[in-house]
Amino acid sequence: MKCQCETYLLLDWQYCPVCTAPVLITDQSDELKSRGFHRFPAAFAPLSYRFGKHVADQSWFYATFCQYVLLIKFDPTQLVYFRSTLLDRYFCFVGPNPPVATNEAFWCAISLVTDRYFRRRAAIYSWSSSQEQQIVEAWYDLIDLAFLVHEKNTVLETSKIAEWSSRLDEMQTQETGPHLACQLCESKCKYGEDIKFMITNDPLAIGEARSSVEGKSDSQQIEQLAWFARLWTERTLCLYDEDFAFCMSINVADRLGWSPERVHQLMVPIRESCHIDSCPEV
Amino acid sequence: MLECNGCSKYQKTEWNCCPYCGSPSKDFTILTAGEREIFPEAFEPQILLSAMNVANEKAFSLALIQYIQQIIASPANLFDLRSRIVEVYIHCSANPSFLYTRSLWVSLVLASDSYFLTKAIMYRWSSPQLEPLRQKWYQMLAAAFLGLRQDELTEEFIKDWTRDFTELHKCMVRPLMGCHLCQSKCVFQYDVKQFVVQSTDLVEQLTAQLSQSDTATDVFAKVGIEQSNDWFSSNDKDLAYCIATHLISEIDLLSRDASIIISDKIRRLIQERLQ
Repeated sequence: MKCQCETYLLLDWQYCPVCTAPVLITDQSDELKSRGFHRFPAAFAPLSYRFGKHVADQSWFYATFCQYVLLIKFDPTQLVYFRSTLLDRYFCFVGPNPPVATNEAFWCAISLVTDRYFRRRAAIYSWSSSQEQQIVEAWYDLIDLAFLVHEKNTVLETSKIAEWSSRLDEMQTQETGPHLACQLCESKCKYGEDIKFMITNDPLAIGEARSSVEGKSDSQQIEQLAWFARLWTERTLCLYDEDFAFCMSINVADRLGWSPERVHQLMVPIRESCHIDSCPEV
Repeated sequence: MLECNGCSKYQKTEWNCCPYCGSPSKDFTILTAGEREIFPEAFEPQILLSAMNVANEKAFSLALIQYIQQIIASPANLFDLRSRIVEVYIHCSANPSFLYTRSLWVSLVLASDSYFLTKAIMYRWSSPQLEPLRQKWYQMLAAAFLGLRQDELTEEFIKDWTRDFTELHKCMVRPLMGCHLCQSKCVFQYDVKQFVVQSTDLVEQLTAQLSQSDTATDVFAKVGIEQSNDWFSSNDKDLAYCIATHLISEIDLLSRDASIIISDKIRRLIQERLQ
């Protein structure tokens, strides 16, 4: 956080020690809109909101959240288990000994990220506002049980989680994908947005992909691309999914500056090398 | 060191108001941890001026960090390695006379204070937490550099100080990729960072090595162990790992994904080698 006078400020400071101006939270309108607010109002107290918003603004936290939603599709129990990874990311950004209760600031961060995530989805897949509201509310019902403390003993059924993610899948189904090569993909378009975000979020990864394909023949390049996609797929999902790896390859190729025509020409061999049996061992 | 009268938080001298309660800087009080009482005749205006110059030298503050870490590694270093501080002091001061005891003492006090202050603000320590430790630290320095009350200074005393000081650093923060594998969060972050940003040569050398070989993990594990020994005379696994992790982030060539993968392997290598 920075003051108008360019002084770096710690998150819990109330005044800038150099120019003595009070540090104001300029825009707390998110707080009123957030659907997480009603479930745990204490999380949106000014100080905890400041920490929560700071964490939610980090693109790496958002990328981890994308991974969270993706993982739930494949394994509903990750709704609970992946919490620790999210908490791990939270602690990357708050600094030593934060003066706020972790569960409060963390819930605030999760709520703000959730709102942002589904707002983006709604814009891309042109959901109606009632559709958006339904899916977001259902999501809050799930994470409410997973993240917040309840007086009564509550049980989170995996069938409910699975039901929710299949509903999300349904709402994301499209006839065509954003790339020409998407015609070979069988799950349009469940992964495109998340993968695009994850790749742009880690700029050095493209450098790594580039150095592994540079100066090679077409077939070798495809092999390297598939290897890279496979590696990343397994790291993201902890399992292998062909469509996901294919989507990853196409997005990486796009970021590497391959023309859409070239990707279109090579899409069949790319798809083939993403097939689990033909993929080189990681 | 300065403290706010209103909320007892540590303050920097250049601040105009307290960042927590907003009280103006005239409401700050000076905390003396007995460092002036230990050797009051040293705090003369002229000496203070020359000592301030030395304390502001990067080399001197690094030497102090090194000294503190070396003491944490082994209590005997308080006496064994003080000559290094004297050496750096002579190197940094413009005209070292033969009567440098007073000036050296004041430089040490000023440099220690700025070290403690920076850390106190970063780790959000309150004065009741830090003051007893700061007091004890000056007692240790007085024994080592002025020969005062040496008999009180048992190994036990230094060990207690080390333990309490490290304990104060414990928190959940994970500033870098791979921090989740470290078991002493977050004791070394500040000290290691100060050294790593200074060693541009080492970073360049590592970058060159990385582009030639495929064994990045081996290179980082080796350099972590070597530098923890070289900089801090320590064999601590977490310290070596901390140095390796900081170097990875300083080199800035690896994606997040790749750094997480290799930090896992580096950790394992370091653990094997520092058994």
